[in-house]
Amino acid sequence: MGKHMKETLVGIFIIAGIVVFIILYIWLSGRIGLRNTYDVVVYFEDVTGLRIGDPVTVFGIEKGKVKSLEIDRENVKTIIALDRDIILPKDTKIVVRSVSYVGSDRYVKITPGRDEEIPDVYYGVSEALDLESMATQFDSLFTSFKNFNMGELTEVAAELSRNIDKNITRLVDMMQKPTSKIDAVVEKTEDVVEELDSLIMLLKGDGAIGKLLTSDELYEEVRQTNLALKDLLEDIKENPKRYINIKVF
Amino acid sequence: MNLFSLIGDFSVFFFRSLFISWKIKTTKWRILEQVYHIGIGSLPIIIVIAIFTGLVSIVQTSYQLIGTVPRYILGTTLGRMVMIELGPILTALMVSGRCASSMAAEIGTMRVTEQIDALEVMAIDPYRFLNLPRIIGIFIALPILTVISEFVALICGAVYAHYFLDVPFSVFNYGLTHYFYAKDFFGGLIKSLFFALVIAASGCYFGFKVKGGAKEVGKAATYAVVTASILILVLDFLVALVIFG
Repeated sequence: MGKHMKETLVGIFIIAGIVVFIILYIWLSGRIGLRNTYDVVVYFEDVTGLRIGDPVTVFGIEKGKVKSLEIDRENVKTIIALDRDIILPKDTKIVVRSVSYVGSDRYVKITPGRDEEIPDVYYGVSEALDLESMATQFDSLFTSFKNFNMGELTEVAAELSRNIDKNITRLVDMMQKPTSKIDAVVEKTEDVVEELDSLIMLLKGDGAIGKLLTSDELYEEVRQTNLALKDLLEDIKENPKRYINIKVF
Repeated sequence: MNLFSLIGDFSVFFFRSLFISWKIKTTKWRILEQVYHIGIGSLPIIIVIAIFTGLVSIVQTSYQLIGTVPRYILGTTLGRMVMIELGPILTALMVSGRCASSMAAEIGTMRVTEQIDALEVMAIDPYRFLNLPRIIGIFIALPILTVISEFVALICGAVYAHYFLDVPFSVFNYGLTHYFYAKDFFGGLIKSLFFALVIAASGCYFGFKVKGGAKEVGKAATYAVVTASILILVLDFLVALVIFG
């Protein structure tokens, strides 16, 4: 191989190396994009956590990227490279949100409106990143747990357990002791019930008492007798001499 | 020769080879020849190594991560692995295996056949004539080979992830670019510059110090590769400590 050929190949090799270096760097730094995009200017009051290259979603579909972030007076001027097929009317809602509560990843959520007017700049809002407050709450919770005297809690629990055991034993004893008395009462009650039963049978039966209680005829006769006796007594009162003749001599 | 005198001798040899009058006009062609030999000569094997580095890395990463983390992390992981570690290290080890041995064998043969003595007799500085082109040649070629290796590995990883792991290019690209830090990329390339110096220094040193015959030339080639490989790993740690530590 000639000297000239080697020189050419080395030149190609070095140029190829430099070209690959540039392509690789531009690719990795996210500056190469195959999308046909246009720039949208959005002003936010706060973009905590948002970084250049973060995704921009429209109805949940990634349609762009955050191209630049810079402070413009009291707001953050954010330039979004958005696909050309997406048009943002005036009443579009633009929000900076977190991908999850555990990561710091942020993205821009766009919900296009229905207005016909298309403004030059948009104003978005940023959802509060509550991680700090959550962390503070967790911290205080853990501190409370740390400060809690576990030895004391164990002692209290053991004491409580002993008391419960003691009370259960007493309750069982109390339930077992009166069994003999209750048995006697039950026995006596059974006797009484039997006697009452026989009495009722007696009253309901064909005997004199039963008939006395149940016979209408007897009732009528007794009533008639009673009336006759009443008349008799009245007559005796009115005419005692008719019935009582007392002669001494 | 004990370890300390070896390190001292090695350092003196390296600085003497590098810090002399370069005489670019006369050395230029020899540098170009070394770039050709080291760069273009190693390119096919480096591309093969890079292809399989990308494929193996993406398979291993997906095996360990898919299902536990978002899929774009594949791109992030592969990108940083290749840029920080695999690209520079594997390329340097491959070039050391291929070039340090050939340098040691070539210079060693010249030493045993007294060609180096002949150069000195002709008032040609053997350090400038033999060592300097090799050091500069590998210093130019190795970073280029590293960049090409990283590029090929990432492309292969992305293609494999797209067709076999259901990780679309856009998702892979998001992970790759979203967590890209220029420090990773340039840190890997700075490593490769240090590796280039130790590969060339080892090859030239052990070739220059050969005494005896063909057997010693073979030994010198072996020592050159082993020393270069060890120094690559030691420097990898030290540079990582400084840049990423």
